[in-house]
This record gives sequence, C-alpha cells and structure tokens, in this order.
Amino acid sequence: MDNASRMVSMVIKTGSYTGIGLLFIGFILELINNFVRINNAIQNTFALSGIVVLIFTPIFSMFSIGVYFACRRQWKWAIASAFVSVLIIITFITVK
Amino acid sequence: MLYLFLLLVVGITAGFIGALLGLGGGIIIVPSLTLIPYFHMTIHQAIAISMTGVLATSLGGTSRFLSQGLTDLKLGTLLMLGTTSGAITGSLLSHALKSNVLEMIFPVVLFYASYEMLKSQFREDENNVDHKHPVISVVLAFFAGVFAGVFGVGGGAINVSVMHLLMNAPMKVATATSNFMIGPTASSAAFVYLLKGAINLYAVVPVVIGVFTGARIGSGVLKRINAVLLKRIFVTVMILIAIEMFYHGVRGTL
Repeated sequence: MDNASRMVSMVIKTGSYTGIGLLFIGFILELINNFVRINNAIQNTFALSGIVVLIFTPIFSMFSIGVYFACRRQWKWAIASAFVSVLIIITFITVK
Repeated sequence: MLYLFLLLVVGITAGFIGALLGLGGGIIIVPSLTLIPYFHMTIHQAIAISMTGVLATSLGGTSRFLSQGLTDLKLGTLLMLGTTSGAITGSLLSHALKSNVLEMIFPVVLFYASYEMLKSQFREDENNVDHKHPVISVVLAFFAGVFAGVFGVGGGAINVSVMHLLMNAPMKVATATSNFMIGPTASSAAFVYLLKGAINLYAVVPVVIGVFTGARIGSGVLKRINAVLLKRIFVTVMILIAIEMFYHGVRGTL
C-alpha cells in the first residue's frame, strides 16, 4: 500500500468507524427500547450524528488526497483533487 | 424486533453485492424496501435510505480495497472530474430533460458495454492501468454523472465499464476504484435527503449497519474471487438493470 492510499484509508476508517459506532449505539438503544421505554430523542441524536459523520467522510478523504499530492509537489493531481472537492461542495448546494 | 432484523439482512445483502461489483447496492435496497409490503415504505423513503446505504457501501469497501492496493486513487480522481461535474449538470437539467427518453437510451449503452465486456480479453494478471484515452474517459464519466444527477443513482455500472474497457483497468481494480468514486456522489445526495427530512431514522440505522458489514465482507471476498466469474456476475447484473430501466422508460412513455 502506498502512502497516499494509507493516508486516505486512515481518514476513511476514522470517519466510517466513528459514524457506524454512533449508529450502532442508536441501534442498541432501539433494541433496548423494545423492553424498557427510552426517550426517542436520544436514539435519534445518535443516528443523526452518525449519518452526518458518514456524509462528510468522503469529502475529507478527497481533501486528504489533495493535501498529499500537494505535499509531494504533484501539482496536476493536487489541482484535480482540489477541483473535485470544490465540485462536491457545489453538488451539496445545487442537487435538489 | 423482526422489522429491524429484516432491514439488517437487506443491508448486508446490498452491501455485499455492491462492494463486490462497485455498484453501490441501491439496486437491492430500493426494490426490497418498496416491493416487500412488510416494510411499509414509499419509493421516496426507500431512495433516501438507499443513498445513505450506498455511502456506507463505499466507505466500508474502500478502506479495505485501499489496504489491498486495489483502488487506483489517480484514476478515481481523474474520472471524478467527469462524474461530479456531470452530477451537477444532471441535477440542474433534471427538470428540463425528459427522463423516460434517457431511461431508454441508457439501457442501450449498458447492453453495448456488457457485450464489449464479454468480448474483451481477461488480463487480470496485470495491475498497471494505462491512463489511455483520458479525455474520452472523462467525457463518458461526465455522462455517467449526468445520469446520476438526473436519477439519483451512483453511475457505478458506467464507471466500471469505462475503466475496464477504455483504460484497461483489471476488473478488480475497476470495481474497487468505482467503489471509492460512488462515495462523494452518494454523500451529496444523502446530505440533501437529510436536509429535506426524508430519511427515516428508525429504518436507516439497521440498513446502514448491515450495508457496512456486508461491504466489509464483500471487499474481503473480491480479492479471492475468480476474475472471470466476477465479470460474468457484473454483466448479468448490468443486463438486469438495463431491462428494468428500459421497461420503466417504455412504461413512462405509454
């Protein structure tokens, strides 16, 4: 595995495990809710924060690719990944 | 309890197939949630959950594919120039374009790609991707992005075909790189659904956990699976998508 892959893998693992961890807590609370009544707001908070973390993870992974290539002075690829990151943010705004 | 368990099973199946074929898994989630009456879901709720699931497929698969050295980050970045700009164009044009006409054109492209894939030489022994035809590939990726923007799907079928047929990427590298590429597209769609409040939090949690688990299993299997078998499964699924889409397009025009 090259350094770029290692770096992106680390970003994706951190983001996805955090997100899935939060969702898992929400899931466990939902299961407990079948036996003991728990306030739904608590489960929803965990679920919502888990999804938000998952949504932003690919964006951070693109940023990390850009930063990696810029540090290696591979400007063509750094500009390409920065451009993709900007396009993704535009997609966030324009997709209806 | 059974409801949550069934959603978990749907998620695991979708994640496994999605990660294996680089498609995302939406083709499993949406029909399962809408056609099985037990789930009581509308198509819009199913699509919103599916987009979050596709995101989980990408994340679950990509981290393992990167460790296995199967994902080509440069190839992914290059094609994402096309897919992301295409997704924006598609979302802006979605009201102007006649979607059922596109639904009849797209299957023709899929059928042609399936035919070319079956005809192409198996070259899984090589791991180097020739960055040949970069402009044509980005243009084709752009159209895959337009399609994703109009219909809200990942465009994985076209991305895998472009990488395998035009850029000579081995099938495993193509599916792994496609898996990486569908993440950002799915994340923006999931973000929009989240802002609209269309995501059913009760149902999305087991699906996403299941998809993530399935994608981890599928990405582990990909390294060991026979490339010829993988290509045949991919072509079969592509033909099924094409038939379903063509039927949908024809029904829309009648």
